[in-house]
Amino acid sequence: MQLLTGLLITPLCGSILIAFLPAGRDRLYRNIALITSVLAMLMSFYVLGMFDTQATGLQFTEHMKWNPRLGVAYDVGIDGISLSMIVLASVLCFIAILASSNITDKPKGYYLLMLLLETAMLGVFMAQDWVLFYVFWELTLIPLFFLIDRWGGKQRHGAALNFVLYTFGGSVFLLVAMLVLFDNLPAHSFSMRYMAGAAGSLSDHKQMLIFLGFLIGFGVKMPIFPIHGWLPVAHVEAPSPVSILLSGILLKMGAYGLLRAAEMLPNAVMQMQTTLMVLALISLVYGGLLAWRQTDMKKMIAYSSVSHMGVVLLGIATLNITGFSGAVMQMVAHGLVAGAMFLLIGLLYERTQTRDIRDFSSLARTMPRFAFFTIFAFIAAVAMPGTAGFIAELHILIGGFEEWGWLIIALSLGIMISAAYAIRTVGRLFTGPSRDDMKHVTDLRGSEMLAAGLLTAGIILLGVFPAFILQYITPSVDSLSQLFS
Amino acid sequence: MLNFVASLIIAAPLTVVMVIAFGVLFNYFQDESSERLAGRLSTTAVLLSFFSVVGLLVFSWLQPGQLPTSLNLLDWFHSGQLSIKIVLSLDTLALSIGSLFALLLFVTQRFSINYLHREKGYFRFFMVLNIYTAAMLLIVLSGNAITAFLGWELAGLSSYLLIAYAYDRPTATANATRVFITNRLGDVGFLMAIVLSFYWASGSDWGSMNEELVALDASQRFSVLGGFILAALVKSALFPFCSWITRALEGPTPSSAIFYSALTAHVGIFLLLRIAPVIDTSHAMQIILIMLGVMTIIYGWLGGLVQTDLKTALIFSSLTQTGLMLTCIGFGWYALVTFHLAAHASWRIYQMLSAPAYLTLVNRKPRPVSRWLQKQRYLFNAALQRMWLDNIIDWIAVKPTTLLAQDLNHFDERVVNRMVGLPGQIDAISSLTDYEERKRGLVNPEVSVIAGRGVMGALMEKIANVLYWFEESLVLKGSGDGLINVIQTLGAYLIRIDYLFSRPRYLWLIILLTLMVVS
Repeated sequence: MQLLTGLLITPLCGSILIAFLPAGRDRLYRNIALITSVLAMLMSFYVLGMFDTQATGLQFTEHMKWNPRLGVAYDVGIDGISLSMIVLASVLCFIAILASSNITDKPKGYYLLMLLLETAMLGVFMAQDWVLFYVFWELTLIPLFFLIDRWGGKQRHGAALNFVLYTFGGSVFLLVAMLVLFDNLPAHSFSMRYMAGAAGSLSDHKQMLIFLGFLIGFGVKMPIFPIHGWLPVAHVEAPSPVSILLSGILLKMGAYGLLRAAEMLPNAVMQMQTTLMVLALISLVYGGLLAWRQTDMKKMIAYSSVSHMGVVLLGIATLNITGFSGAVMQMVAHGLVAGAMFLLIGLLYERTQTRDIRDFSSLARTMPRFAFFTIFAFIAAVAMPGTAGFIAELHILIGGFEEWGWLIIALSLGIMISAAYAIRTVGRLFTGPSRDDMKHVTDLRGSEMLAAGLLTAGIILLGVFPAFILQYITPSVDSLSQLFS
Repeated sequence: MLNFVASLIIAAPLTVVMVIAFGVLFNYFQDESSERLAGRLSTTAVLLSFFSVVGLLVFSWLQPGQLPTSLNLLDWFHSGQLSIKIVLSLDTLALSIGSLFALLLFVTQRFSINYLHREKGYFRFFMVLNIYTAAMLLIVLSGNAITAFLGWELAGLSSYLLIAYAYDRPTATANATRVFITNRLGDVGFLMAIVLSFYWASGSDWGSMNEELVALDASQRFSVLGGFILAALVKSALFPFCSWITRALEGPTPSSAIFYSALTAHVGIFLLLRIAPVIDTSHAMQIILIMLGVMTIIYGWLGGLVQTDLKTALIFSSLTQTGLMLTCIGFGWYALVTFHLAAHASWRIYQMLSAPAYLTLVNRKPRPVSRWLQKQRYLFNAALQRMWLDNIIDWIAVKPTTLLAQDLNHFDERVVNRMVGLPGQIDAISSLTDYEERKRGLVNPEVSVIAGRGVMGALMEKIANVLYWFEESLVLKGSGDGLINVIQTLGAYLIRIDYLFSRPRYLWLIILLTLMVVS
């Protein structure tokens, strides 16, 4: 069996296995989910090891006819960008499942859906056929809807419905754009490679309209400023492990899709460059300011995700190799950082049943391990040197400076705002007089430490040895940036 | 081989520094039982350095011309046309003074093993002493100004650390800081000279630099020379920078002996010997040097007469000697200075090391201040006050700086902090005092989490509030909930239509209509 298909169906097998197990074996479901996600993670590491960093183009390609009349095929393969996303996804899925130990209500369905979600997300990053991509893209919605609606917070029903409707609305634009493109190309095929080659023959006007469709479709997921309304609600109401996946990977799917769309329609992207930049800067500052304005910590992290994804969009908008590298790097970095923040705040919420920042004080004394990891996560969110985010923002800063000169200072403004709420939160959580109701909060346990430690190690590793990830990204990003020069 | 021997001179003491540091870090060196090992390691390292230097010296005597005069040890970095290298010079001056210094360092270390026995900071002392050993040898054997500067800085650092050896005594730490800062003044001169020599000459290798500096015009030569001389004056505590050296005696006796009376005091003179060909060309500089030398002699002589404690008296007499050396440099008698330097260093270290046992050794009352000085009241006072050099420096440099700093601090607190919103106004309770103040109602207890401080903070708060309203009422309610509302309304209509269709009368109607259309 081929490697990528193997990776894709590993969590699927786990979820099918759980489905057929008898009811009431709660520990078993969790163990199966853990083993499958570890297996998937190890397989993704194996793919990482086998990946040829010298070669450009797709690797590990597989092709299988699916519906030849429509030109649809099961076409998977990865380049450096999808590779980094796949590894990130498999690691975060493992961490999310590891952090789910407190889900005691119907664990069977929960773990089944989590594994299904992992399959769908991996599929998005592997697909090399737009229909296959769309299938996986929509497939993520089904488990997510149930996960939020069944295991979420107080207003989960509204949040789940809102989330699905909102993203579905975006998907409609995506679908229409894809169909228009399909209709306008001579050979009826949905293959990404074919479409990327042939789309250049369309008129500029048409390309522009098609790209707009893609932009709205992916922009909802990413999210970009005016169409981010689903994100705060969904992040807050979702159970913490799902929030990890939502901000860690789901948002990256939008950015990843945008990169793929940009590869296909370079002319349109070049015309839209300024618009993209403005949108990115607005998202950046808007998300940061709203994050600062929140007292609910989960909501704060949700808005900080908007801000950080604005940085990704800014990197994409530079249309040069440095900016693209920074964007991909920021996707990975934000996946790890947001994952760590949601994980830790989720664990805090489980223990104290509150997320309001005003309720906390002097936690460093009662939970020193929690304090260490949380402070680190917030520092990493500000992109301090030595963390992965710094490398990313430095790339984007340099790439952006090449493109727009001093305008890029706005990026530093975003970073400053993020420092404001990060420091505020750290100060509020860990310093001050000790409170009686916070004296008996238990510190992190073994598996939680493992999850937080893995993310922290990843952040430091990529921050100190960025060359490790850049070597995978660079060839793909280089060929991508060639299209715009 | 040659490279290995040469680098051993510097590397041996530095290795011991690392070993002791790790030993202390991992609790291996912590009590009396391991003192012997640390002491042995340390003396062995200095002996290694000593034998390496002596070996090179003997080699250069036996095989004249075989030894290269300069040895490139390490290319540190290249940047554009700038290339910075660690170069050792192996000429007779360097090797002979180097072997003498290494020997004196060995003697001092051997002495310190007994002197610091059972001291709390035993290991710390030896660590710093080894840094100093490496630094001194680096200066003496340096082939270019950069290498010498490295040693220069290391020496400054280690003397700072040893003056503050008893760091629990406020005087010791205050004096250490004062000495360090005074030394930085000399470093500025040194650095300026290096930069200028890179700018006007091709580099800072002693030989070629001297040749090229001689060819420069007078003002340029004067500025480079001025930098080097400033560095030398400060390091050797020559007039007008004499006052720091008495403050430096806070450290343990062996360190005072080796630092301030034997080696550091001479290293400035040594630097002047290195740039002697350039000094020769500038008569103005020579005259200045002679005048400063004479002033140092007077300062040392007068001050020494009235001292009541032994170490200080010795330091003053040592100042007289270095002043004499400076004067001789002014006259151009370099060979004499070299000889004087070596002889004085050896003699003075003997005196300093035996100072703690002086009273038993000499066994008679110290002489009182001589008659004629007792009669000269003003002179006597000047000598007692050490010619007010410290006060003058305080008045010229320290006080204005402190006042300026106070003003700036005031400005910072009153204007900048208020605008920026930092610190003191941060609402996080950082200390118990904060907490108590808050409890007593001195500080507003319910400062909101989302409160911006300062001008920018207030602006940020305003903008954030507007955006928050926008987000809540338009983005979330409008699009999110609004979407659901629209769908629900639509759904209600559809259900209504569906309901109507399911009534038999409408069904009949539709069937009839269809039939009509078909027919």
